[in-house]
Amino acid sequence: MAKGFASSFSLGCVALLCCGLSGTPVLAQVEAVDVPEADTSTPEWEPDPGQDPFSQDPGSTASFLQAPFRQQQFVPDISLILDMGVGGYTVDDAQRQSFISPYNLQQQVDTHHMINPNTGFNLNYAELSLSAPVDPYLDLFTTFHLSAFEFEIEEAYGRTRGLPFNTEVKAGKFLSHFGRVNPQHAHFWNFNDSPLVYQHFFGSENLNELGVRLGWLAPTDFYLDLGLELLQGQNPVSFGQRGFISGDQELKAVNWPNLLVGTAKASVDFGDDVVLLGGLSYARGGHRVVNDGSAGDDAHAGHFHAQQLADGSPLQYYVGATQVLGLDTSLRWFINSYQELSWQSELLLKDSSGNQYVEGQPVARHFLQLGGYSELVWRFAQQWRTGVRADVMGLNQNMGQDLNQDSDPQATTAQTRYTALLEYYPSEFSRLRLQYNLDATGFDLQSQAPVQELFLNLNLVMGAHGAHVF
Amino acid sequence: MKTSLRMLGAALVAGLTLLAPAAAQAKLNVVSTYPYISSMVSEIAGNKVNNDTLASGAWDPHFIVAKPSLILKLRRANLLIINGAQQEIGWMPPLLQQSRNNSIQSGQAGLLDLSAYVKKIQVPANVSRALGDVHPQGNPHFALDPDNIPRIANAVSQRLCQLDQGNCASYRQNAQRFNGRWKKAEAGWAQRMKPLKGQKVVQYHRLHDYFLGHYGLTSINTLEPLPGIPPTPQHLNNLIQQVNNENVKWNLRCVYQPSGPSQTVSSRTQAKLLTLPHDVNAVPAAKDLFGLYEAMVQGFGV
Repeated sequence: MAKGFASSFSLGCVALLCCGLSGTPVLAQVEAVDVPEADTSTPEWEPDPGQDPFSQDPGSTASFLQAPFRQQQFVPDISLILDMGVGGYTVDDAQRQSFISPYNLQQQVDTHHMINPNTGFNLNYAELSLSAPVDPYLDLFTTFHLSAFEFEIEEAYGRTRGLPFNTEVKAGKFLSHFGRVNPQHAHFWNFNDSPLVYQHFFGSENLNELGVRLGWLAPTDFYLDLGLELLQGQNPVSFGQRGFISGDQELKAVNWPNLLVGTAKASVDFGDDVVLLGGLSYARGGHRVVNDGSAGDDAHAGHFHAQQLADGSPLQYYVGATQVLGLDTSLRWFINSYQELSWQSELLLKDSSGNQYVEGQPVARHFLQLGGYSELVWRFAQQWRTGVRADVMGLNQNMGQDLNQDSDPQATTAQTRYTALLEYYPSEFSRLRLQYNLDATGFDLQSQAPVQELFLNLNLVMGAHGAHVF
Repeated sequence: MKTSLRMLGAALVAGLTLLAPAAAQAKLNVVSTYPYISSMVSEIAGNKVNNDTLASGAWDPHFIVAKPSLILKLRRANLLIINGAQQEIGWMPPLLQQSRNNSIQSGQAGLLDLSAYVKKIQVPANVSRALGDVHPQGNPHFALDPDNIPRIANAVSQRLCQLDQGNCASYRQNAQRFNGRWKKAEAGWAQRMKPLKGQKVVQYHRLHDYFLGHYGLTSINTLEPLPGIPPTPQHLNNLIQQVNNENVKWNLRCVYQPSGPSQTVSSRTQAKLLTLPHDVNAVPAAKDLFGLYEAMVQGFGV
């Protein structure tokens, strides 16, 4: 899927529309654009003597006469990616979608963007992307995440072009450049689901925030890209901003940007065919988390009034600061044009400290959590790829004063998930993916047996989808 | 000063002309996407510029890996020369965007798109991916038409002149000399290729159409059923019949293409399998543009 067509869609579209309106034969139109005089000295357009002298737009005489305000030629690059899957699991859907994670202060893992949530057929998402330069200074990128009944803005940001000193500014809603997987869109992941540690630390939408990013490409002899992000910090799993009332305690919502992310990525080549990319990421922000499993509706940013959980126990609120440190490495060996072996790993360490409020009583808490994954992907032919991944959540230490002695016994045990996949690409624009998960995170609570998951996904791209970064 | 000029340059087209003398103080950093282009740059500029290449000549030109190290080369570039006609569409845009180098973005004098200076064949009237991975602007492998080489030489020397007026006379002279040598060499290749005129050819991908067309050979089919779609058994069976029926003489593949399908075709037909270079450095003999063409002509046994 690495290849995309940045402008073919709009070109084709324009040629068609243009000719449809002007009545010029399509072929003639294309040739007129594409075959300038050989040996011309300048690529600049020179007015054709027969053309309207007032028209500043090459080849626009016909449209000038017929549709003077037509803007078809400014159509941005448009692409739509569709992902659907059929799956079977050894637990029922309700149980699979409501597992409790001891690594998550929210308790319930966010399944909002879960891939293949149901047994049988699933329409996972349609990702609609529009992008184009805004003016000489800025490009605009938007990605809309569409599911059966929802239309969400996944990303919408402006990005500068040509700032001095090798810098770049990105502003809007975007996927943080934290780590390796986080900045990637779901269709570009090597596996269907994001790594367990990302699900536990950031939820199913990863660290996707409002804010601004400053990037700097260092003038070094190797690739070194440094970035600093100031983000709102609404991530409901590890950060969050909402206020609440617990007993007689009232905490007001946080309304200012509350999360700072720093990233450093470096890369070196070994010969022509082997590339090593490493990254170090650090996120630090305040957290306001509640254990009701809600997605933390910060858009309303108001108070969240004390309620009880379904089992009658009081809600637990966490207030404090969270830091996440991430380390990632990718080693990719490009064997030839169509074969590649790549090994990618990430390790994330999360430290949350602050107070837990239950019915107004603050108790100091301090959690230290560690998780990571390692994956090996082998593209063994132009149309075939296979891979394995091991996810491990290895540490979940509660270092504070223990409020509930009967806290989850699984809290300190390691969790693992093993994944294998086989992919077939009919073309660059379509992908069939068979994936198997052996999920020993203990979600099958009755039997404590690992959950097995098998799914087949079809991913299709149409239109002008830009090529991906390394 | 240079920084403020850069900002001005982003705002005004006039800014470009102001920027040129500033860049001319040091050696120009010229970066080319493919080896054939940097070979041309070295013919014209010699050691008057720093000459660098992004892609390896032995790889599929459509699928070059967008390695982060390539971003560094672009960051420092004063002039980026691309093949164009969307041959780089699958790997170049993210590199350009990440380069943080405004002087080589589209519309700037620091970006030279060679496809604008040559005549392209197979420009589709309409595009749809139902027809495979088609190139909307026509077949992009135009560097394999010997008539396009002097056009490329002129385009490169003119752009170098624009960015580096101090060495302009030398660029012009070298381009003229190169074109003279090219004309002479081309006459020789034309003489040797003459007996092949009218012969039929199948190819793995439509890579050598310009070369074949120039010397009067006819490419009747490709091993790929559609551009970018690997050969299927059924398509190969039909192709083998066609090769036998139409007395096809040659079966071409490039170094990076899987050899299996091409060997199957040649083992069941009279068509001789030829592995031809498509770019400079694709084979050791193709050291420069002359070597590339010589290796192709020699491949045909003439």
